[in-house]
Amino acid sequence: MNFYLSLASGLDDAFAAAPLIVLAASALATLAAVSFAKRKVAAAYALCAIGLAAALVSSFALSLKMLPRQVGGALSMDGLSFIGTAIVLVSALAIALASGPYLSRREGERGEYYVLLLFATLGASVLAASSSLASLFLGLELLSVSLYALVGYRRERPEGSKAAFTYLILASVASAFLLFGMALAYYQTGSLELSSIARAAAEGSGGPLFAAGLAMMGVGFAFKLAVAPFHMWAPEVYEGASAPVAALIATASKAAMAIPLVRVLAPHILAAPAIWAIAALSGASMIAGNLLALREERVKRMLAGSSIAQLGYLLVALAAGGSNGATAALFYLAAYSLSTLGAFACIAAISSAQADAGRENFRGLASRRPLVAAVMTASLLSLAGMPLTAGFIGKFMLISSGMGSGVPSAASILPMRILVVLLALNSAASLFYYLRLLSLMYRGREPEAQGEPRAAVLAGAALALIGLGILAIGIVPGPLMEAISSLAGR
Amino acid sequence: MNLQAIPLGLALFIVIPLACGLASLVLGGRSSAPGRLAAARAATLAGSLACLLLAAAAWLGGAVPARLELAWIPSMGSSFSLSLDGLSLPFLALSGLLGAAAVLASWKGIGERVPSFHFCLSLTLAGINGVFLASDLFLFAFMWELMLVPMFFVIDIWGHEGRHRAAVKFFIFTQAGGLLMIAAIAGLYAAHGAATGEYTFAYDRLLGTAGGLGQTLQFLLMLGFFAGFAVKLPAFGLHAWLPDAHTEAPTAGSILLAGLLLKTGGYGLLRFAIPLFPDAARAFAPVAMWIGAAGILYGGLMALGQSDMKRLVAYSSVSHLGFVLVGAYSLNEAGRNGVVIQMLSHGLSTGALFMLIGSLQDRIGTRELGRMGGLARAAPRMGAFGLALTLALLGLPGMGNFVGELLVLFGAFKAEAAVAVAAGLGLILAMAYALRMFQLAFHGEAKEKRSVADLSAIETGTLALLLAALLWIGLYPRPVLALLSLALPGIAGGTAP
Repeated sequence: MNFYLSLASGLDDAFAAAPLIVLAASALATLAAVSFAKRKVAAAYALCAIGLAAALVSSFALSLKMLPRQVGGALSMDGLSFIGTAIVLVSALAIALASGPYLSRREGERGEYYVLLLFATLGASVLAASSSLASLFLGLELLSVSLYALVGYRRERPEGSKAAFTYLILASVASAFLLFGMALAYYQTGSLELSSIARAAAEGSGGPLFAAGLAMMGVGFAFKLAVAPFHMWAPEVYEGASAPVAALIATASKAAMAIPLVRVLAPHILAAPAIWAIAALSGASMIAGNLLALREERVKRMLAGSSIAQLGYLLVALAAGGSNGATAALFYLAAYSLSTLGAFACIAAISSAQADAGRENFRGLASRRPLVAAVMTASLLSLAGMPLTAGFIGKFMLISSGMGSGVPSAASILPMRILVVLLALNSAASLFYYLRLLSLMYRGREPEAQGEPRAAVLAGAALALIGLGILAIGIVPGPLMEAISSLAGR
Repeated sequence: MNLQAIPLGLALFIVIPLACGLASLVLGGRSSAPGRLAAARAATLAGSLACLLLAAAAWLGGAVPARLELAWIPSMGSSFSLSLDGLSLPFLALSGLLGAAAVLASWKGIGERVPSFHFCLSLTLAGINGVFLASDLFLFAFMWELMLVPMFFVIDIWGHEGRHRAAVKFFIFTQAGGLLMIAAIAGLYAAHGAATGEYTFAYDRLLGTAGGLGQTLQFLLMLGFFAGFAVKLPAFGLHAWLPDAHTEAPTAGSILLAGLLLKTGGYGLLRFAIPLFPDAARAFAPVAMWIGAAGILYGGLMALGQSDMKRLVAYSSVSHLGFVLVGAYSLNEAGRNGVVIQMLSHGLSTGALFMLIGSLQDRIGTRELGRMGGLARAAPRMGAFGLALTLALLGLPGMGNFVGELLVLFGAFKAEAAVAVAAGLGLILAMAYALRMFQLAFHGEAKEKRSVADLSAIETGTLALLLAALLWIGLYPRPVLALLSLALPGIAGGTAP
């Protein structure tokens, strides 16, 4: 009897963690295919795409029904992890689809790329589901190590190797900070559970060492999220990495990293110093990111600046806290990921065999490649927060949470007001660089540009779906909003 | 006619332009066959005319007030709710009329990417109509921002030489104001929710909220709304985007900008900024009125010194919209009535002027007053319309502008006599710049030898229609005023002294 009970419970665990299991299995299968199959690259591409799609299906078909469920001691498959995993998987799937035609145009295409992509996705999903420091660090390292290799994946390009080393060194420093902070927190609380550490922090118990530990963990997170003043690596890495990998860093990696933050911050009313600290990071990020992007001529670096600023906006909701803050943050995360994904997928779609698309490749794009131009327009407008796109709703929710539609605490009123005004002015200023690129696409009618690839079917379909998704969420945001707010409560 | 009995009812004002814009895209396709381009133009024209007819039918049939409420985002307390009252109806009619004029004005002038151009025009009109109808604050913010994007493209793609800079400037200015307004909307929403436990964006529910707030908060929220509307109006100090945008936009863009987009600012003041925060508005009124008076004088002086005809009209708009600010913050009935009349007649007269300047530029290739002269003799019909519109610009009795300005001055005199005196000086400036413009362009010897074709039948007809509407408001404003008295009680109550 006991055996059957534990079998049933084991099955339930397996169902709840199905996406993780599917991801791990397909990563191993792809690895095997790369080693043994005849047409290594094609097999790896197909297995990777199928594996990601299967993981996505399993998370909706199996995992969703089991929520919330604690799997083992370290993974909590709940609404938050579901949202995080969904964002990560959708991003990874679109990136995988875009990678196929992108890589096939280049020399030295290798199947290992897809293995790394799957491992990175697995790491990000574990990160999103982690309920203890151990699994958090495990997921983070799985993600980071895969990313080091992905960034420097094309060894013959010096800028790729440079970016990989920049990323390796700075991310290791961040990991070290995080680890040391975790050790201090563990030393003070005797627990690895995120929830008990968060509770101890909220109650203000624990001495100065605990506070130092929290601060160091904060620095680690800020590094990984590329939040100012820990953002310096982002432009270099985005520029050096190939477009799909940069997309992975900008979307899946950041979304996964933000989930534990929401998990820790949302249930508690933050004390004044914590609010001011988050507000300072947020304001600094908006300003630094936008200044970076404003001065930048290169598209990928501009998007790096943009995502630094976007994460700054996101922190507004985290500083506001409460269930409204959590819903706003998660919604914005979804909108931001989808829009950034769209922008990078467009870059990948028009990148030539030699180099990734730059500003000049966008000139007159609307008459050459209307679909890519349309999706890029939707993505940029969404990042800029204009209506009919997901970004508008997301930004409104951020502002709304910042204006205290949740549970306002007296300590939060002043910093939040300042943040909201900063958000408004920054996002108006950011229009300058979004519009500059946008306007370029509709100038002139260039004949076929040199070396511009032809449209690929699957990548094109993914692109169209991203564009439609941005519009759908922007016009009928209700269902997603309700799903997120009910899931975040589970 | 009962609009509520028609399926979709009020939403038709938004759906028709959208559908016609899409039809333009589909009909025009990517071909350049003249027949298909004409079809694309005709689709958008039909959309505007349908809106105009709908508005006229609602007006004559006594369909005000009408409401429509559809579920949209229930979890956030926002619904797709529209309401038509005496304040919104005249502006909807104006939008239909000027939308049609904009299509007609660009029939010849726009040859590039014709379907996309008409799609952008239609989308702008849909957004503008949405602004005039929305009675849910989230929906209002949505529509408010929605009209910017297509307008940006209209300026950026089809405008004149300095269009890229002007388009971005326009967008950033209005967006900064818009986001501050959104923050204020969110603040009001949160305050209402905290006080009553009901989180809603419905206009009717939020009307009385501000009374229960602290004075500082009320004032801050009011300022947020004011920022959004003052940029759009534009108020003195926030007007830097306007001369560039108006000058660089294509003719149709200038017509929509001056004729409709600026009006959304004045409409917003009357509908939201003042009624939602009556106490704060009263405290702020003297400041706002002086800002308005400064705009009147500054715009007039700047217009006096312009050599570019379009820029001159643009600065005259700064001056005329100053009256809107003065009248709105007079907080009495005369002022409010004056504001609406002033906005309607400014929309008609400036729209017509931009159309005239556009056709002039198509013919002689310049907007420089110094290179014109003698046009009245070369093109008599053009001269006649030029004269009539100049007289409207300077506020001659008989034209709507006169009624509007006079009512505003009455209202202002009751509230702040000194402001009324300062604003009155603006009328003298208007005489000077309007007559100077007419003289340089149409009288005297031609500076350059050229043959100028007179206005075509379409142009003549459109201008005559706009002028007739202007005269109607000037000679018989009572129907508009009667309509205004039907406006929602919230507005009348909010602006009563």
